[in-house]
Amino acid sequence: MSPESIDPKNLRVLFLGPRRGDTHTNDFEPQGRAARSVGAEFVVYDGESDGELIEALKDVDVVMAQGHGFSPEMFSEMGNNGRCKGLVSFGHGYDTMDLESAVKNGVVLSNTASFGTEEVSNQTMLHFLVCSRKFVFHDKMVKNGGWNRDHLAPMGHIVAETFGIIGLGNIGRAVARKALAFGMKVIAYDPFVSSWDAKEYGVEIVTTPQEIARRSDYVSPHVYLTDATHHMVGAEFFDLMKPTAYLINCSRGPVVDELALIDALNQKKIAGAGLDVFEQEPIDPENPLLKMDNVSVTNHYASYSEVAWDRANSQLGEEAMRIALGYWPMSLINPDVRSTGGLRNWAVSWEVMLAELGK
Amino acid sequence: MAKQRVVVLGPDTDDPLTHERAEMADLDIEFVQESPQSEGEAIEAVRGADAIMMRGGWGTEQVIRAAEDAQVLAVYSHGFNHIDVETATEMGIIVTNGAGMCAEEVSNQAVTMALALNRQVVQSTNHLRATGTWEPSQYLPIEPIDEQTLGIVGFGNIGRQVSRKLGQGWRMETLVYDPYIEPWITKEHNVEQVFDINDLCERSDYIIVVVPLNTETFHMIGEEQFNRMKPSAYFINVCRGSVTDEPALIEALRSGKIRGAGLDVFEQEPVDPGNPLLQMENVITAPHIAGQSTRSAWLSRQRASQQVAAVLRGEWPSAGQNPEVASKLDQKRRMPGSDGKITGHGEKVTGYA
Repeated sequence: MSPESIDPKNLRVLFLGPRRGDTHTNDFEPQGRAARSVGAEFVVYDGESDGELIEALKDVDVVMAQGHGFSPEMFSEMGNNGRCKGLVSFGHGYDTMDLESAVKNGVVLSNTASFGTEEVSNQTMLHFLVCSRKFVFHDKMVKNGGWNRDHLAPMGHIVAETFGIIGLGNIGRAVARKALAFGMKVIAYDPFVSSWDAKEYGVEIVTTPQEIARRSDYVSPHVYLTDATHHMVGAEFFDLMKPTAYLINCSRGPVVDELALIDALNQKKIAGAGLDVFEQEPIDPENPLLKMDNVSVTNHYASYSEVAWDRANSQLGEEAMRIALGYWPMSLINPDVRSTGGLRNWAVSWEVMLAELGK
Repeated sequence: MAKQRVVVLGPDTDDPLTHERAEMADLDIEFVQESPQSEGEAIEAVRGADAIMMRGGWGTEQVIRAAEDAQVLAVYSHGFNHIDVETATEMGIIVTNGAGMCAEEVSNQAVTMALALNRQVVQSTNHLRATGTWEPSQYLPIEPIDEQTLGIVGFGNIGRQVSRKLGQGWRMETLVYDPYIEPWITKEHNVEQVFDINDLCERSDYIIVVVPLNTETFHMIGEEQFNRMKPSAYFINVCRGSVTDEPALIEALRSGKIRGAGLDVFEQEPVDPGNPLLQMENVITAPHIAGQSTRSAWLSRQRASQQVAAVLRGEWPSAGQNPEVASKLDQKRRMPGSDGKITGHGEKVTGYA
């Protein structure tokens, strides 16, 4: 397959909105921008059942999904077994998809990598500062008519303190850059990142998560949720942390063993936590984390800004068109598909693709 | 299981292979060292090899075809333009290089040349030595580099370090041409991505090329690109000579289309002593030493050995240069970062990422 042999005018792209909820209230302009710019057809799915969807997939070249579940059975009608070659999903996490099944069927998967890197790293820094400065407690005290300095100690200096990052991908690197700007020592655990790459980002790589726990004044995971990362921050991890240290989590709730976290906070094994994500979302109003003055919480919106979401949507459309036009996507999330999904061209910038297509 | 055979082709056959042995200590390996003097000898040397490590040449089609059992061909250098990658891919052989082993060194050489050209250091040294005359005005104008524009062609390991050291260090406006980088990379590195090489040539005061040599990059800087450059621009090549059309470069320098050049590499190496570039006062040169340091000398061995060890363990190497070979492999190799199975979790908020 080569782009020369594919006429974009014959391509159809399917967009799937959320199965439930009302987050798609716009006109899908950014999602369909790339398809329209090369003359491909952009179709918004309006069916209900899995059966209808499987039928719809037979007449499209690629599908993009925002908040829409995708069962392994659907992959069996795609890739090497159907017209639809791949799926691009909105967001970062791909914990709702069965990668094995996609690889087996030669289905190319992509996401909107890095669209919210700045936002998520900013939310992380927000929680870090709120924790470090004991903001939640003091904000509440002042608003309730209190005024005292009895609850300040222990309070860290931030400069020269250690920020420990688990997962040094796009977001981890942005957090590192920002923590370095505060004059902090930044260490990271990421078995997939080489020491020389880490050096380029001014970060010291450590070889175990335990070392992150022991050395850090603030710990922040920035990993995908997988079997390997599920509950990777648990009781053993909290036992190793400093009693003055804070845990920040803006990745996925189940990366942290929430019961162990609650236990660690109750026993003062750590100083506090800043959380954008939880094991159950929406969070149970009875969750004890909501009653603690040393815990700051937000409702899983770390990635949001208008710019970020517009970028995610246009990236969603561009990745879909790369797949439809016989290129690899920029953010291939199941690289093993290279051995099952046939030959494709290297991913290139969208602007360059447009030039190559004479647009 | 029989020992795996790693054939090391190099200038000598009695190298202790210290790094090679250390990196593969957990594997059952038989090392064979050969120093072939002809293609025929190289063909014989690689027969039956599970892995080939090349410290020199002989990556030709016929040699690669003879390596029927090989899983990996590792070069110690960055460049693999001397390897017939297409044949290797067809044979199901993963090609790896020493990616990153001398990125600090090569980027330092590029920055050194940019600063030397800006400050006219080589020219003034030569002039003072040759004539003994004190003529400061001869080297003017010297532009304020912090107000100038840097253009980097190729934004891999080396290009990013040039950006960090020169672009960020000197607070230059930095343009990048690289159609293969993801859009978020340029943002993280605070550079502007341009999508047409000619735009970069028109806008940059220093054009630094750091790309691998292949059919796509051969002579990518030629007459048209030099015509687009500013007469005050400096051109710097620290990657491979044939990325530049050398006669076009000579013409551009002669006719004043650009102000000068810094060259670590040439189309013919060793360079012909009669090459007019060596006679030009506005050209500074080095004999292809950009990658050299006491560290890169051993790091290249360590990196190449790590790549081979990964493949022999059944993994995908971190510096695999022909990912399309995956379609030829019987054995499924796990790419770094592919975790396979996923876990379930609590109720997800629809639409949120």
